[in-house]
Amino acid sequence: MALLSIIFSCWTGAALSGRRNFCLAALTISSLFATRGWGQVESNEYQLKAVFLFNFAQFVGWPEKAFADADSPIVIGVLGPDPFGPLLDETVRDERIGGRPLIIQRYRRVEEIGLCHILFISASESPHLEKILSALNGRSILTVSDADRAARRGVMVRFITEKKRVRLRINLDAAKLVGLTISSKLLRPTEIVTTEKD
Amino acid sequence: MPLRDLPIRRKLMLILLLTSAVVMLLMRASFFTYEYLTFRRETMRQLSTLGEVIAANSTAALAFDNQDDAREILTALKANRHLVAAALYDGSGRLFAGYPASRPSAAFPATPGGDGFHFEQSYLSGFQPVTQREHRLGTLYLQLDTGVVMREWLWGSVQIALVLMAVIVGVAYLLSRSLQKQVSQPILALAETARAISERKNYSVRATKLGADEVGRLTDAFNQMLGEIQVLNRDLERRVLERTAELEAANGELNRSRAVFESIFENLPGLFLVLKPDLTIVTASDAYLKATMTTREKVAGQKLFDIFPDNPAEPDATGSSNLRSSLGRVLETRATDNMAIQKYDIRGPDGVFEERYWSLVNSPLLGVDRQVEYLIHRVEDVTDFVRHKPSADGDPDAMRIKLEQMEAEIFQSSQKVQASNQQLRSANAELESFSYSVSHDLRAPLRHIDGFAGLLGKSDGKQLSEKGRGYLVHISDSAKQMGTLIDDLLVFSRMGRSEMNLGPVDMRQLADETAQTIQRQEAGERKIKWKLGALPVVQGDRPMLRQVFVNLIANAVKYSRPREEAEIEVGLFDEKHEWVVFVRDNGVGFEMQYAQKLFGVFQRLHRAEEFEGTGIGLANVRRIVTRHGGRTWAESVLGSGATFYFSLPKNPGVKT
Repeated sequence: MALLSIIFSCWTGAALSGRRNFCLAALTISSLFATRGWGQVESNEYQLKAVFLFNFAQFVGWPEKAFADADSPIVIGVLGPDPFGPLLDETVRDERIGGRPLIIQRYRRVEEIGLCHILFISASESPHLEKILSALNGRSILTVSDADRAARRGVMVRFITEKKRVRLRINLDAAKLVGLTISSKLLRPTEIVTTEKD
Repeated sequence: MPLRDLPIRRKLMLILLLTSAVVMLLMRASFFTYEYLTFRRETMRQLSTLGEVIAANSTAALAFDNQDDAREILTALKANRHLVAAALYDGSGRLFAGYPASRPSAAFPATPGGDGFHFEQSYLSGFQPVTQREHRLGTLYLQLDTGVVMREWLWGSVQIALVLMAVIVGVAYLLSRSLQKQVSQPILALAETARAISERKNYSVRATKLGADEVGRLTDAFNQMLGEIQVLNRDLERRVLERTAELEAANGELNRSRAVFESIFENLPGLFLVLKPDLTIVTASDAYLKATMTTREKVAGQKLFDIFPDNPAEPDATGSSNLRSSLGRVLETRATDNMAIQKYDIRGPDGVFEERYWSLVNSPLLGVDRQVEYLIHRVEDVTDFVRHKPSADGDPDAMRIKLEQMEAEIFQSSQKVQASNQQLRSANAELESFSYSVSHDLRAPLRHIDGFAGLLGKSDGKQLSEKGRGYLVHISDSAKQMGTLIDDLLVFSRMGRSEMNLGPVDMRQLADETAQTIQRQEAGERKIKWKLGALPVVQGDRPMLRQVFVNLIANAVKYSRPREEAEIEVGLFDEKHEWVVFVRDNGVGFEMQYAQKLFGVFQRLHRAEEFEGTGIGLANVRRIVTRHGGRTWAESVLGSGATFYFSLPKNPGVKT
């Protein structure tokens, strides 16, 4: 029932406004009742995080070589066990940014990662984080994780959950290193950190 | 004071001031409207720009659900003190952040409305979409308090308007004060001149022309009018003077003639008293005053019987009552009344009465309305006659009888004169009737003589000698001539008897017709040069006057026969009371010593062998002209033509 409601809301929202945030709102409201499978807090948190992942595509610029051509899609990848469930797919469905569609890809291992623009590294991959980052070395991929100390360890964006709010911590140097530009508007309310060598 | 009664100067200034003030106000009003609209547009544009900036800044806050950041961004709006409220709504339309922080969330719109700003009362408010790339992240709400701004701006505008108004009206006042003179000065000058002229009646003053505009033309016309009035005035004065002089002269003349007549009256050798119908004494002749022992001053204006009462010493005196009744008769009948001799004693200056006998005549003097205007009382003092010759017949009555006898004698002799006049008149008429019947009766035997002489010539002429036939011709010719004579005598006789039919007669036309008729009769034989002048139209008997022209012109033609070319002129002298017509020829003429004989019956100055005729024509002319009240006469120099004149009165009132 809850699922049906979500789908219906998303469909109507998309049909009426074509605006993604309306979907987010619908999800938020309907997820209040979708307690089965996910805890309420967790569910809210990952909804936000899914939307944030999508929103990054609006505030981050990639070098031209990151895309095959003008119409090629923006790829959002999830490495490790997927905490989003269907939320991420729902979030990006039918959306376009700068004329590009968005697609979601899931990877079990770092070697599987092909063309990718935003990579969410699950917290469960925290022990292999350094290895993963080095494997991605030099590729123009915006790395995002909610693992502990992820930013200071070289991940570009870390989700921090404080008082039920998701905040961002950004490692600007890491992003600059691979030629990504992050909008100053995104940077304004965030905490900027640098990579710390252990 | 209504606008139309104001002086022109004030009117002009008022008009100028009012015009400039109204123009200024209208300009200010349009400028104000423009400023107001600009102000609104500008305010809206500024708010929209501000909204765009805030929206752009708040995308990240909305995208990453950062309300603190959103509040911080909105807090920056405090720099604009007129911005009273701002809010961010997230994509689902929920209030995300509000400004100022103290404002309760219920004071913000619950959900965002349509995009765009609009004025609402004294606030400008509206919604601005917040988008990142093409994605709408939320909505920004802004509310600006324009009331304060508007009031500040309005107050400034009014202040400017007031200052401008004061300055413009001031400048307009100064300008109009000097400029209005251009218009008002000439009019005022003209009005002042007109006032001065009408007050002092001095028409020699001229208005000064200050320009060539309408007022200038008005001034010219005004001056021209003044000139005309002046000329008229002068003319009028001159005529008044002339007239006054004439009147004075006439008055002087009147006074002189009045004095003359008064003096004549006063010096009349008789006793005269002039009375009004109410018996007031007007004046008296000196002789009367002397006889009554008084002066003119004492009697003038007094009642007759107050001045001349009966002698109280003689209670039987009837003088006054007789005189009174005589005067009454005159007033009643308006005819002269003779009184018998009266004993009428006169009171002397010492109050003593003197015995007097008067012979009195009272006459009325009628005015234009045939009423008695004055009574003339004439007195003959017969006192001496009565007193000293009482023995003539013993008493005055004998005197009266004698007078009456004398009057009767005079009456008888006048009756005799009238009777002999009547006899003369009937003898004359008998004579005319006799001559007419004689002439008429003579014609029959004459015709017989002529006829039988002709028959004798025809039947027995051959048996007669040459001499005998000559006698027969003589008998016939003489009979014919006698016939003509009798005809003329008949005409002459008729002219004396027949009634005159008077009417307007065109003398020139008559002369023309006569000349033409005679010219025709003489056609081919004679050269006649006619000179017919202008002649009047007179009152007369047309056939008779034609006869005058026929006789005179025929005579002229006849007696100029010896001349190769006859010159006959008919002309006119226009005299004061009469027309004098003349017929002049260049014929043989006559000796002036016979001039008077010409107009008698059978009077001829030439032998019948020379010029045929009966000698009655001119007698007829005289008779006709005389009956028209005119005269006839003739002038001539023997051998060089004659002129016959006749006159006709211009006013044929008197006929003889």
